[in-house]
Amino acid sequence: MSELIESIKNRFGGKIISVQEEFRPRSIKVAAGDLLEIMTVLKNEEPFRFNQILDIAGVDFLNQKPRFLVAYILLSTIKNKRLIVETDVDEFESVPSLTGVWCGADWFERELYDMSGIKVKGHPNLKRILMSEDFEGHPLRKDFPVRGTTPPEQRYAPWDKRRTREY
Amino acid sequence: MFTFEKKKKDTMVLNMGPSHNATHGTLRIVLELDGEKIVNSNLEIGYLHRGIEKMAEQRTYNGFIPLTDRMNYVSPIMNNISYALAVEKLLGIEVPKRGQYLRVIMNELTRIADHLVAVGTNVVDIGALTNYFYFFKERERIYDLIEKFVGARLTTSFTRVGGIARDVPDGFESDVKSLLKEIPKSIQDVDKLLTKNRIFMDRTIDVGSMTQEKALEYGFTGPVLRATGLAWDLRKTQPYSSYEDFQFDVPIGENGDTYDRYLVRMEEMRQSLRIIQQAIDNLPGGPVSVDDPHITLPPKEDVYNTMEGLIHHFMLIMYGIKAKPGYVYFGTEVANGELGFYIVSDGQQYPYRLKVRPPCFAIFQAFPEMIQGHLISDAVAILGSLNIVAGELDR
Repeated sequence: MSELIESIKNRFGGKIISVQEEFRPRSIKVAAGDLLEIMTVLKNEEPFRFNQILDIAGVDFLNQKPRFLVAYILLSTIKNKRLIVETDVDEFESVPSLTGVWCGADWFERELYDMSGIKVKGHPNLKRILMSEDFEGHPLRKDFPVRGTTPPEQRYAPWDKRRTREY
Repeated sequence: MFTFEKKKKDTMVLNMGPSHNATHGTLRIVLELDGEKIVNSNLEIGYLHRGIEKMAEQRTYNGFIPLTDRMNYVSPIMNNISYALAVEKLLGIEVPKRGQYLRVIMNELTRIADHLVAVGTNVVDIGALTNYFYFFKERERIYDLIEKFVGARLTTSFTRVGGIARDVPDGFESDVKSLLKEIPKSIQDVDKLLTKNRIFMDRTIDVGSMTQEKALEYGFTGPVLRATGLAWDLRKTQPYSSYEDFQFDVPIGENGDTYDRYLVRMEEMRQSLRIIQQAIDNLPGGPVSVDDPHITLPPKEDVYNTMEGLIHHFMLIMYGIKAKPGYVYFGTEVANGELGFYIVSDGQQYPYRLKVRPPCFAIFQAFPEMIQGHLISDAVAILGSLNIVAGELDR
């Protein structure tokens, strides 16, 4: 077991559900409820000091329960270490927002919501970021079709906020 | 619908983009102006979203490489290399030394080309047109070399999983060496024109500065982070693709403003030239790709003349490379910062999920904070210095 994983286990004890050391970077799995607390410690306390959040990825395992896996990819420029913190969420559950820990998590969480449809609780501005506001569905879910059918022709009249469809 | 709320009374709302001369890509910036001063701003991105991550789930590992060209179209080769390295990490293979060195040479040439564009267009926005021509002349030379080697200027698809597409043509080394003589002259010219230029300094010093703490928290990487004074370069701190063999320095700035970013980029180009010089002097012989029939395509003679060659060719083309179940995240230092690929595999020939970590995405979200309180013309200068590439931002 590596030094980092050992110190994480000592610090958090039973809150770590599982540890993955086969792949790089190493990852730990925690419950969504503990996420905020663990991340705050991982960012601020020795010997972790993960001062950067590089990315947040949502992975959809369609037929599993819980359905989604959210991976937070962390980097410590102080210790020169990487770590992935994973958490499982189901379709109608949410993950806590980390914007209070790293302000840079803002857009990544919006992307997570936009692409995978995972709600982020406590986010100051949880709107779609890459798709347009009136887009239906979340493209990176596995049940979202890859090849769309021909969309109905749309006309948009912004002055009366009404949408007309011609089939 | 995109909404924008004004913060103050008696202000004007100005819409910059999505198609605007100074944005270099389709981004939309909504500015609230008090006179010429920016009081508030909001961003809207996604105009160039093509769903690359969704497309990756339907393609083989090699089949995704052409899509990486379309991410950062200013330096496509770096994206190719970064993606190939991530998949190789997932498969647990390492490219032969010659392949690694050739990747380093092309990587650094593209880094120079990217910085030439970043600095060149940035100073055009500020009003210095001459430098642009000095730099784009050199960029053209680099692209000529890339075209000679790869066959395309921008849509390179240079790498394959497990190596590179083909070995270099004859005369490659002398071409690179003549480039190494030419590029420093242009950098020197622009250096003389800009670095101590009163107008340029007035326009860039203390414009769009960022503290190191804030920059780290926002997830900044690359030249924009190094300009704040932190010597963090993945080529040095977490070496990949034989970068540990080369001597080079990591330039840093002090205040993290537009001027420092310019200085860091200029010095990085000189360091890249140093790396290329060392790599071309010590270029080893041997194969450029791994010798594994499950990963690399066999040579054409084998396909036509031997049974095994034909079978391997057929299996690779029809079924692709299979990775064992698992995940990988691998980040490399590209011209803008850390480009990372998070790949989840379920044992099939397609990635189950592929997530791209574009460096621009983290940097651009801090843009409203950077331009707060500056003039509109400064916002244009800052945007140029961040080198936002919309193709990479939106994927």
